[in-house]
Amino acid sequence: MSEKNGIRLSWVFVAVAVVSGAALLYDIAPAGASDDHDEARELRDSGEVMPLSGLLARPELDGLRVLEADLERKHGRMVYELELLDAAGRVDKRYFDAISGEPLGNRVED
Amino acid sequence: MVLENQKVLVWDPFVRVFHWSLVLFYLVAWVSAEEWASLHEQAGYFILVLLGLRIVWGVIGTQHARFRDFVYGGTVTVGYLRSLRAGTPRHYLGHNPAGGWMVIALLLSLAVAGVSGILIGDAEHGVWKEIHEGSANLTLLLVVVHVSGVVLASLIHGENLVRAMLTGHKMRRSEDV
Repeated sequence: MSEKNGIRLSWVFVAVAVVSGAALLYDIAPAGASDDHDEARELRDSGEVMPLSGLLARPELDGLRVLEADLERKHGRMVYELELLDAAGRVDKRYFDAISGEPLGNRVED
Repeated sequence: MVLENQKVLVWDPFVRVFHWSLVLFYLVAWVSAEEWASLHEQAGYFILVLLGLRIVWGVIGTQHARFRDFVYGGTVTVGYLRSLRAGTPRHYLGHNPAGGWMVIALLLSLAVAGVSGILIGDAEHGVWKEIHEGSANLTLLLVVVHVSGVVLASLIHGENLVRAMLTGHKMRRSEDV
């Protein structure tokens, strides 16, 4: 391969990279769409997700302080993410299905 | 005849675009990890596409882009590292042996991070998540060593390697490998 052809082919690789990059980044959900307040309110008002107050009434949250509550879309599913502080001072992230209120799992952050 | 101090194009356009895109999207993936899932995932896919293209380019690309040009055996690499410690390394027009292995390490580490990220799927825990976070952290460590190596080599040889990766040009020297 001559040097000139090498550089030409190099530009072809650049073009492929740019086009695939643009295609991949094209359908990103806008920032905060997953925890956007308007969308959250809309979903709650339409009855598609349970209200946060209903979730907070769950018995497994007794005695825990809610530091942060987010409604997020994770892998196409609406999920409440709660950051909880227990009596021992440990911070714990827990996920709940936003439609049924079912617990999904947690992640200890300390 | 090889002319002394001749300006040559060492890094072709794709090598440069690849390098800086990787820098940008590794940063994007890192920052968006906990904040913006869809951006994090698409940045990861794009990094994998870039890696795939780079591997093909490493076989068919221009002279200094090829693995054959910069992956040296153990003896040469150890010898290079010794000469680096002594402060008298040889000047390479392309990647030096240590830099060459850094390229391989970064490609592998990022490939593991990308693939394990896909394999996490819906899980909030699990072995893939551990591997994903481990390889992402390893990549950061490699980046720190890489940048240190670039600074060190730039100082020793009195050339600006960061600029070379932007413009593609380096000055050829008569004693070059």
